[in-house]
Amino acid sequence: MDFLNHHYSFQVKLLLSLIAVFSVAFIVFFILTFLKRFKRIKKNELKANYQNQIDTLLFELLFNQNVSVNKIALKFKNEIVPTKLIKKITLKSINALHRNYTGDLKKRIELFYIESELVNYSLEKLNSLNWAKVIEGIRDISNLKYQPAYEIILSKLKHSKTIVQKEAFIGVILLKGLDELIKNKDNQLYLDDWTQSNILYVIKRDQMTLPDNIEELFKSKNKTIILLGARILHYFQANHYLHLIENYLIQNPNSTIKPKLDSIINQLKNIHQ
Amino acid sequence: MTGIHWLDIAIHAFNYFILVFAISVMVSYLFLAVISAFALKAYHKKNRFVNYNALLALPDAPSVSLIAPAYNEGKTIIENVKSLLSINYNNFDVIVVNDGSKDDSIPILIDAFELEITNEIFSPQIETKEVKAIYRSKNPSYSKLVVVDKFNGGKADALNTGINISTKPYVVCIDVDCIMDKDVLLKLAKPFLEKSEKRIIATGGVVRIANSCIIKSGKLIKVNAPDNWVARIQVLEYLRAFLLGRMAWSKLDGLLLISGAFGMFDREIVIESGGYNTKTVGEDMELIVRMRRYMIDNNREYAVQYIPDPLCWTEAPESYEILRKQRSRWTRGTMETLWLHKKMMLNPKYKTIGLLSYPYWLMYEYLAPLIECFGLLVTILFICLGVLNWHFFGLLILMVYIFSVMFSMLAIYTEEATFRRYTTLSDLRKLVFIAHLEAIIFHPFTVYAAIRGNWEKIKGNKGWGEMTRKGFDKTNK
Repeated sequence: MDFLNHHYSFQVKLLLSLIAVFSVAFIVFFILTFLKRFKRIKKNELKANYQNQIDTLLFELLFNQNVSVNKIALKFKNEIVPTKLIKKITLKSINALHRNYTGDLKKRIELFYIESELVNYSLEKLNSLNWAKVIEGIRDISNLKYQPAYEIILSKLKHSKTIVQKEAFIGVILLKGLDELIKNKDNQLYLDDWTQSNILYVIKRDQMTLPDNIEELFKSKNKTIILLGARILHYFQANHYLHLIENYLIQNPNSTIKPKLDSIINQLKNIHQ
Repeated sequence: MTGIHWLDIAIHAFNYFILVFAISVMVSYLFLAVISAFALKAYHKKNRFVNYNALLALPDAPSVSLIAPAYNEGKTIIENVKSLLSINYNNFDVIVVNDGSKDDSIPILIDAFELEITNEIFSPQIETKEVKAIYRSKNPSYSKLVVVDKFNGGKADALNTGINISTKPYVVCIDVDCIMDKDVLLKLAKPFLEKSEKRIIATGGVVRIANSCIIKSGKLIKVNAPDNWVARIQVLEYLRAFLLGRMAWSKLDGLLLISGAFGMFDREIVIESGGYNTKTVGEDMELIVRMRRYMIDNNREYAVQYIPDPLCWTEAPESYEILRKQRSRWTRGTMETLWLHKKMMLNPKYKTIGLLSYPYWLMYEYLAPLIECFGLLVTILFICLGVLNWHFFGLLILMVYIFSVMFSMLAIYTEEATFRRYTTLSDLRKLVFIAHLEAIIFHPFTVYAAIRGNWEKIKGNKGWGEMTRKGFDKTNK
């Protein structure tokens, strides 16, 4: 009987312990959920408030050419007093504006990025141990064409994370154009279709031009770069370079990228017709 | 204590059995939840900067056929098809397969989309019921639309017909009445573009409940927690299953189910492995298990991917009768799939799916309701005999109840920390409130439905059961 009592006592203790643990866990998740929600509501209110101030400032930057960029940047630094959140919101806004405008307005945004010292915030990210932050930095700097950071971004091609290497690859193309792709043609980075679609996207968005020495790309030992080269020719509808793809296939008849290259050849031929 | 030694020992043994089973279920849920949390965090970190529109720049983006089987969907089919045609992607077509509808679906489609019969010849690679006609539109605006009219053969047969008709390398199998995110194909296609050594054979996404949500012109405008309690409880169920369950199974490479409402497949592998099985009501789960088994049996490297973004919104049953039919069918589908692939059980050749996923599904998805029912019957017997230890019983029920509420709260927290689709405080309160009732009013019902599923299987019921839907147009003006 003692034996059974002992077991019963153990079962009850176990149940009581589990009830206590689960109850505490429930309270913790409950508090965390509502805390997160309230924090988000507060953050959104704050964001909306900051966004108004930033929009006013950026409106002045774009449409009041009488005011110098330096003066607006000073206003940003002294009157708005940029916190981390403000810097994030401003970067998001200027990135969006930079995509939408061309010419002088684009240049003013780029200058504001430097004068407001937002560029330093992006440069700091490049040294982060968190790879996601590094990507964020590369993206801001390359989108906003901060040329002095070229060497640092180039060095990220040797980052331990492949995802950062790919971003750096796109970053240097954004900074220096398609010549940079040719310069890095022997890089052994595996450019998957997703990365290639991103490269084609920036070529299109930034209205890059086809380099004269594009044939150099087809001397690459990296077959993903060959495929990218073919896709670039397709994008520019450069069927006068069709022979570059055809020659590659003659030399590499069993290449794994053959079906994709064949498809591009067909599409280029159709353009010709 | 009864004073009868052998009876006391039997009661203790029974108590231990129930306790150990309950704790093992809870530990497995928590284990999966922890893995999901890490996987979700990694997913968000990796995808927070992704510009899905970049994919549109790729001239040879994966070609996809959206296959939507339709049976008596005449009332809503125009809006549903228009919604599918407006998806943001550059390389897709929509194949609507009318599975011998008894209503006027075909005349409605012909009229709305200016369809005409084509003389297209296709070679069916999967056996299906006879195709009556294939229609295409005269209007170039609807050039992406193909409508297939066929004799009734069930959902699996209709999907197989769509797979036969498709000329694209990838197929997305959906329910025609689901509301899709406009970027659904961009998000589903991404894993196929990132492939390296392993061939991606399928990608699944999260299905969410659309009841009480605001939907206009086939697009989700605002997410609300459902007003109906039955539907609202299913929101919690789906959150737990998709965010805390399947995400983990995907991470463990043991995902056995991609929802029938929404999944993208490598067409070649689907055909090689025989297409959807028309003899089971769990054709979605059966296909994934068979495709995985096919790849392993043929020593081919493969992967099944899972995307935790809420991309597909569906209407959940709001009445207990419809829900009972749905859950009974799910039970029969699970039974049939597990039986068809019993060879995989604890078979090291099948790695995670043989050693972990299969036993888990058998134990905690299929057998759990039966064990619960058995426990309940023994408890009733103990009450009748006057030997029930009410103290132990009360504590056990309390522990299970608190775990259930806590786990739902964890799912709500995960949603709040990740996708945050329920934006109002009122929605959050509604979900937390219903989490307290679920274990009392809903769970016993699902156990009952699972038992009915077993009974129907024994009786030889092979049907789907009538699945009447209320329709989004009636809930949202």
